[in-house]
Amino acid sequence: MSLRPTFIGSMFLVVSLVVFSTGCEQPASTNSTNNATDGNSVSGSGTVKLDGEIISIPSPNQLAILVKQSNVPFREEQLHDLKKADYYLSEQKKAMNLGIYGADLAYIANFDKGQLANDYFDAVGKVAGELEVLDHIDGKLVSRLSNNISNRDSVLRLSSQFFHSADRYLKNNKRTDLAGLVLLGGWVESIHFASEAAKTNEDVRRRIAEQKHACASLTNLLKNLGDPAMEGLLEQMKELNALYADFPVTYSYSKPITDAKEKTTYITSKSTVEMDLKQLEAVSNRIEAIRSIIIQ
Amino acid sequence: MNKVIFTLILSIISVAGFSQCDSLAGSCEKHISQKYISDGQAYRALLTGQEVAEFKTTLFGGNTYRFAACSGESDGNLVFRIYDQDKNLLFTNKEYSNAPYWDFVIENTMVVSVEANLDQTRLSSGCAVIIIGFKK
Repeated sequence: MSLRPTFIGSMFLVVSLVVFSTGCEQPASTNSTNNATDGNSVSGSGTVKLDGEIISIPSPNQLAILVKQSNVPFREEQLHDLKKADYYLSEQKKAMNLGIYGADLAYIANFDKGQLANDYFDAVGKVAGELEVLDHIDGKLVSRLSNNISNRDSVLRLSSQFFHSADRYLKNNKRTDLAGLVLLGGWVESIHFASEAAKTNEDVRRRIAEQKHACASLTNLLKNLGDPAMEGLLEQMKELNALYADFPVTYSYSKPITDAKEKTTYITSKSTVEMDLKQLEAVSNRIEAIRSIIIQ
Repeated sequence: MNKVIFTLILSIISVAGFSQCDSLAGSCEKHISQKYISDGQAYRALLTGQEVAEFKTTLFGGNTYRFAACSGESDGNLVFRIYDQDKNLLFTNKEYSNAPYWDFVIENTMVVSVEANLDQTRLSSGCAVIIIGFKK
């Protein structure tokens, strides 16, 4: 009982702090003692990893656009089964398959398949709803996406905003793990599409070879989860990493050129990475094994 | 009791931080114009003093990217730098009045490190957000 006044006083201090820190950032002249780090790790040198072990994965849209440009025809049988959208029980499986369906939507949108895009948007909505993500995404965004499902550019842009909102919601709710698994699903599905096109198109093959960093980041994500249920997936990703380690890579720095008026910098450094057809087949087989685990 | 209060303080400040980052990520999207598609992620951290946030990403050859960098309620509070794999500085917005966004035309695919810190002459703590878009 004697502690109560102190406790109430402390709570008043806490509430004051929260109101202050939510309402405005601290001006430069104040001495901050706020060490909240949004779940980030801070090293002794003062370096913060964004969102802890942040992973940055290329958007499935980028590979989908390249696949379309490769003139390889659309193959509906490559898409994930729509019927499985309400089949998954665990949050992890839902998150990964949300990524899978999202990449499917990007692939479909690039080939202007309006009705199919509609069906896959429904699947995205269903899985996002089960993850309680959908309730926290701007309803206007969802209806704009739904109303423009036949317009390629709109679908690419709005679905990207949709996944951006999902990413924000999951991270806000300290579900960075699920946000990462959405990225994993999207990445695997986009390589799955690209692998077919890469057999006949060198640009796509090079782009798959350039995924070394993304592959390593996603493997670290799974490792950090430490989830026994993900052990099989982790082992497959490690095998995929080992394949990527064998690709010869070169890099040479070149001074960038900046056009300040246009707010544009041209990065002209040179780099190469090589992957032959045999290596492509090995990567492709491993991706299929990983995809099977995710969608089963 | 002290542990309880400390935990409460950390929890509530953390919630406030998330809320701050969320609204900032939303407003930072205004710099990713219709010509660009976001990669679907917001890279963010709560920073204090001289802390530096960092992450690595792959920029693919033949693409144009837009980086938007935000902190606080106005533009120009966040300084960001981009380094190549050998730690050569490729760009910093510090040389351009902390420009809140910048475009990068990438000739060859490369893995880059992105670092960001608050401009302490303008802000001593706050949420830092970087958003990356690529040109359609």
